Amino acid sequence: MTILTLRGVGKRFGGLPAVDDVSFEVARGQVFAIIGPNGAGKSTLLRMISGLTTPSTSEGIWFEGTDLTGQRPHRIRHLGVGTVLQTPRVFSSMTVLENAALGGIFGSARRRAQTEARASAMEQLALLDLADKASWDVDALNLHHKRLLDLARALAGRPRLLLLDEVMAGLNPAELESFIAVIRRVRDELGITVVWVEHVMKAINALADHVFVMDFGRELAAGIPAVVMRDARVVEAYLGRGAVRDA
Amino acid sequence: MIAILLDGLAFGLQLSMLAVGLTLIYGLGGVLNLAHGQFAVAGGIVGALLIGRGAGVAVGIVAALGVAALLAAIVDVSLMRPVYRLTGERRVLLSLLVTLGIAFVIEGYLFANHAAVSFNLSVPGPVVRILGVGMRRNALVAAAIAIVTLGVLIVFLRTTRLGRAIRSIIQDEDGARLVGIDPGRVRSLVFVLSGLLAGLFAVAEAFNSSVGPDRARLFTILALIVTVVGGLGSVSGALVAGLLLGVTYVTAQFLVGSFLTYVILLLAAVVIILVRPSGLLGRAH
Amino acid sequence: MARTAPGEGPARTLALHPARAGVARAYAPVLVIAILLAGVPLAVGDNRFYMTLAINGLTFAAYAVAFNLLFGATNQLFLCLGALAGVSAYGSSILGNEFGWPLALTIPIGVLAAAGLGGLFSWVAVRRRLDVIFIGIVTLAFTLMFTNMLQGFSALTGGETGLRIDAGEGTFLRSSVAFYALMVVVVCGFLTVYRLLERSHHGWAFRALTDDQLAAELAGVDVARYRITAGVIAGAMLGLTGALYAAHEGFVSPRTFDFGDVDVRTLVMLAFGGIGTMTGPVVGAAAVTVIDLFLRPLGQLRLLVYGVLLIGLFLGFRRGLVPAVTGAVSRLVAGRARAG
Repeated sequence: MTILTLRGVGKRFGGLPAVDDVSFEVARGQVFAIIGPNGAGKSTLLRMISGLTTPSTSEGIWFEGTDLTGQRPHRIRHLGVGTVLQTPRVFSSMTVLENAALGGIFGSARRRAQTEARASAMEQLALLDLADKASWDVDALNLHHKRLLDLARALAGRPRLLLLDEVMAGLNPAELESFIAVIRRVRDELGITVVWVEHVMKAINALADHVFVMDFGRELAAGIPAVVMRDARVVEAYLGRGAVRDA
Repeated sequence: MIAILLDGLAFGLQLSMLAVGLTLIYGLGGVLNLAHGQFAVAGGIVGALLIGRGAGVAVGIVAALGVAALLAAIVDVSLMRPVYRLTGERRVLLSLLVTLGIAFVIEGYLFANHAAVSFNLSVPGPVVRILGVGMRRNALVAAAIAIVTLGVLIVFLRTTRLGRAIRSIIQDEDGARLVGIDPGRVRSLVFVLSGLLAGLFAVAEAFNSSVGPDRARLFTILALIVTVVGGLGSVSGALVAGLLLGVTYVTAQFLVGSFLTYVILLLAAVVIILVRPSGLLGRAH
Repeated sequence: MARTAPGEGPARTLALHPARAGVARAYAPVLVIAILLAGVPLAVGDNRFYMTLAINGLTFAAYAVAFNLLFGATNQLFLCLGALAGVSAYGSSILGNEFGWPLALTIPIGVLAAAGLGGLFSWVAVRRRLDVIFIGIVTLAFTLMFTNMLQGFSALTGGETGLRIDAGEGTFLRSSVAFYALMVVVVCGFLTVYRLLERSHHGWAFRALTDDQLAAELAGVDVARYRITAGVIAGAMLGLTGALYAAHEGFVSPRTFDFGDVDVRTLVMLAFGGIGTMTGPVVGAAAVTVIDLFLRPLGQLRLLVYGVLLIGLFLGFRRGLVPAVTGAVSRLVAGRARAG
């Protein structure tokens, strides 16, 4: 069953196409990875789904039958799409628990009460092994924990689709392993579909159910990882420009 | 009609000269200086005081330029240091608040001690006819100062090494640092340059009408509006916006009363800001 | 930067108490302020000079609470406080003078106009994605337009000489003690509104959007809605204050709502008291009013002192008086507790 459908989505910056006529479908419950060399337009594509960037051209970005094109980010969030960006965006005047609770209060179409949101935020933090840091200042967290907190806030609204933008970047091997485990749990235990822009191949090989390869803003290849990764064009796109960060 | 256009262009050139200093330090330092008009007036008052005590006009003019530039230099190396430690919007905001304080200090001092002093310069002689239109000699001198100043500035920015360094920092501070330019030092120089431009504006305005403590706030506000309309950090934008708003101002003054003229000027500025938040020639962010 | 740096203001501990818990503690400061303010006429008697001063201080406290809601809570640098108060004051006065309408009708109209304009500015800023500097410049332009229009339409506004107001003649509004009492109610009402907002979901949204607007949007906060709400409420506060003050004075002039006299003074007061704290505006207004009294002999040099104050506050003592004092007190208490 399809949860997200893109048709003819494109974005131009000053005449240059960053994303050019991209279409795909994401099945419910999948981890759908979007990969490609630097500057291939992956993050721009993700930002268009989350509402942070308005597409220049779009025949439609349907999430569960609703067209997200042109909707504001908070509306898209209310429809059930959570987003975690590469640079962790935390609220530095709040504690860790408050950061997560905020997602619970505002994260769905119907606002939730503060006490209820705090309680469920505590559960999210426990799921992500952040419970012991609930009362910390967020600025005391390291990159890995800030990303987890961002994820906790995204999950607090009980989304059905999660958009991740290079969330593995800059993590050490141990943190990487634990983050992979977290995303697996998000998919398998919470049943949340994940659309995931990533550079770290190891994480993709471990988790992706479907891979969509972009180059120069366009689709280069798509399919199951084992097949796509051996595609000559994909290998050339990567090795040809030396963009591989992790083999 | 030609008279209006010429008047407008002359006024516009002066506005551009005032705004260019502001836009340069925004482009270089990411700060907005709300004491810009006060620098100009402080320079003018010192010039007027010297001339009043029997010094020559040339001495008065040099003093006016020197004081405005010196004030800018002092502010740059003292109160702006903590401001430069911040980045982005926080830096602009703090610079706004601190320079507002500086503006008050200067204004308070001037009002308390030299409230009645004003800087006036004039060249005697009959009206000059240009394109069949009579122009006051003083207005022509003011316009000439503005044209020469802006011309020299443009040549300086385009041809000298320092000028090119300034332009490269405005475009890309990190890139400039990579090729061995020290943005801090260039920023200080530009702060002084902007003070000098404020002083030159004061001299031109002294020919055109007069420069007294009561006009400082207006100068700052006009500079701010022209800068924003032209696009923060864009020198050519400040030029275009100055001319555009100058002509708008003089035309409106011809058509409606003087108070409503400002309303029209401001309305024009607001509309441009809303339609193009990055300014006429500013880069989109 | 004006905002309290992360992790140092007490606002963070006060603002996000779990709902219901500590209702008494949350509103106690309002009560304390009400009692202290009510004591002023008792202390100074019906002294004309001091009552004028006190009324002026309260008026500014009201402006400062509104400004705090804009600048402190939602990062909107409105430089048209005097103009919004003035729109309401002039509007209600002109309607009263021209058509003989009662204050009970004209003041609400004035308040609605100011609230509408406040909301409009916020809406424009959100729609055009203007940052804090641009909001400042657009609203400053509005202030200048307003002052010039007062001069341009002098047949209606009285121009530079000002406008006498007939409405309110002979009512309690013209009595200084009664009006003072009314203003105490108004200021405490504003503080209550501020705290209500702070403790509701608005407070969460305000903090989120000032911390990181993009993250707030991604977390589901309708940033536009909360900004506009703050603009409307603050506009209404400014409008009510301006119209009431005009009715009390029986006279308005461009000086009453001058940018330097209203906006800048309010900014100094808020910076002094502590931006983003509930009691800061009132403490700042009181402090600056008293300082002003001592500076009076200085004449024009007062401006210079304000300049120094502004620079000092924003460069050195950035958190303001209220956070500094409460911080010191809580450190002291914590120290005692550890010692005992």
